[in-house]
Amino acid sequence: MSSALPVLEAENVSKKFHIGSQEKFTFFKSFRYKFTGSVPKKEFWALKDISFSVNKGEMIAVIGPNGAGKTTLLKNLAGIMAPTSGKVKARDDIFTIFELGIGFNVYFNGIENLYLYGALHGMTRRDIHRNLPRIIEFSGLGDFMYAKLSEYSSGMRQRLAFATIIQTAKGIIMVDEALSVGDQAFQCQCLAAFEDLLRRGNTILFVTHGIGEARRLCSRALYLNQGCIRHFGEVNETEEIYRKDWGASMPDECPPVPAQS
Amino acid sequence: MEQSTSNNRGLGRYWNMVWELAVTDFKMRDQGTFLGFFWTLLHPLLYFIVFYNLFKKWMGHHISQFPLYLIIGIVQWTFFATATSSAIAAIKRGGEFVKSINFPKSVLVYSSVLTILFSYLIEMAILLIFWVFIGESLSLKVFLLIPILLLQLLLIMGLAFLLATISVFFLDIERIWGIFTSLGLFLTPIFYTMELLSPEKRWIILINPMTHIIQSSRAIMLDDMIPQMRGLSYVLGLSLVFLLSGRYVFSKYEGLFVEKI
Repeated sequence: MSSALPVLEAENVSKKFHIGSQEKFTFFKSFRYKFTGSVPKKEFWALKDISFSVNKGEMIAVIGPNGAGKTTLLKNLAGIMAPTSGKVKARDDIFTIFELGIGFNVYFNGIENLYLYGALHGMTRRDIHRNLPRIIEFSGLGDFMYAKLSEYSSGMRQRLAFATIIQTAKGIIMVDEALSVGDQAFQCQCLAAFEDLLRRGNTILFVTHGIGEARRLCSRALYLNQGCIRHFGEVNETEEIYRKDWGASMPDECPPVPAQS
Repeated sequence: MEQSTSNNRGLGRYWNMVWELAVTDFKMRDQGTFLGFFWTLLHPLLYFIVFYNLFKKWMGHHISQFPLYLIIGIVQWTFFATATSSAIAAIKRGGEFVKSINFPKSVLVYSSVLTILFSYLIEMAILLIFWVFIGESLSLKVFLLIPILLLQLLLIMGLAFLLATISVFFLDIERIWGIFTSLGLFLTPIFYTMELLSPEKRWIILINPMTHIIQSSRAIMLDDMIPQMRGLSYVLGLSLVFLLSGRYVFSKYEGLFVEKI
């Protein structure tokens, strides 16, 4: 099943951000900075020399503490951002599920939004039309498909978005913390959908803080820390290292709040 | 710096995205307003009423069909001004897409202009129906309006790409362009004729490409004449310069949009 070439490759990918440069320059400011020779910003390397490859049909969990560069990595792999140095090679279409429901229009009903959302992800009307019954079934929204989006709960909006992508996407699918969407039943449904996607030769990369139920589907896990690959390998082994690093500071349960005197 | 993660889905596929975004924007523009769709027509109509009543005594002597002369100018100018202003904010409006989906950013520019083109075509259709209704003659030369429209679109797209790129880095351009289009209302022969200006000052009007577009439309519709090629060749040349430089800066900087908005 797996082709000779990996479906996704990162070669020495590094990404530099300028912190404090988020402000937009007006003409005046840009002249001032040119004049004074200083632009108020600091360099920050969000990714440092990342190299790894993913084979077709694999599911990879990307783990790491907050700020480790997980989302930045996926954005660079997906081509949303260009790496400062290094190369990314993708040999399949990439679908990203980063922020669920962007572009949704509250005045449109579920079906209309589904076509709009699909279009934003580069799908044709035919792609969506062909998968419509499956999307509706997966979302579990029933009659709400014909209700305006303004009448949806936030959970329902996310289910609609997730259903659209997961039932239509083909290629490499990147998911950022979207498994936290919905209740337990919906999560199980998502895992089943992932399994189905993998069986049909798709590739999945997903960011998570706890691999949990997805463990049995993942072939490998990538553990990022401070922009570097700490470990890339078999799931349990990687998770072990992750736990060892963060054992005390990332307990399974939150410590009790000390009583105030 | 090299990256090959671009979309292997081809540009053609993104026309669906352009279309869906434009249709949504078009529907949303009047959504929830009391007069709904009529707002699209009300804008040029209000200009017409004001200009007509202010200048009918004065200009009526110089121009035989002043109301028709005026309305052509207003419709053509409004299209130019609204389309370019819409394109300026296109990247900012699509900011959340830019941040989480990989797609050619030009989609946002095209769709922002397409939305305005929809209103324009409706205005034009109503104008032509009205034209025939009041008994004005139209010969087959009316089809010459199509190449004029294409030329106008070329001009708008060139400016759209230039302005959209600059506005990501310099917020001021939105204000500057706003002033430009307000002044343009007076620096384009919309409610007066060129003959009213002293010959030494006429160049101010003649360097304005919209002057030639509007004069040509009038030549076709009012005088049943083939428009002056000299003015139109100037517009064509200028549009190509805008388009080539616009596309160049846009593709050069589109990779940075994600970090700037």
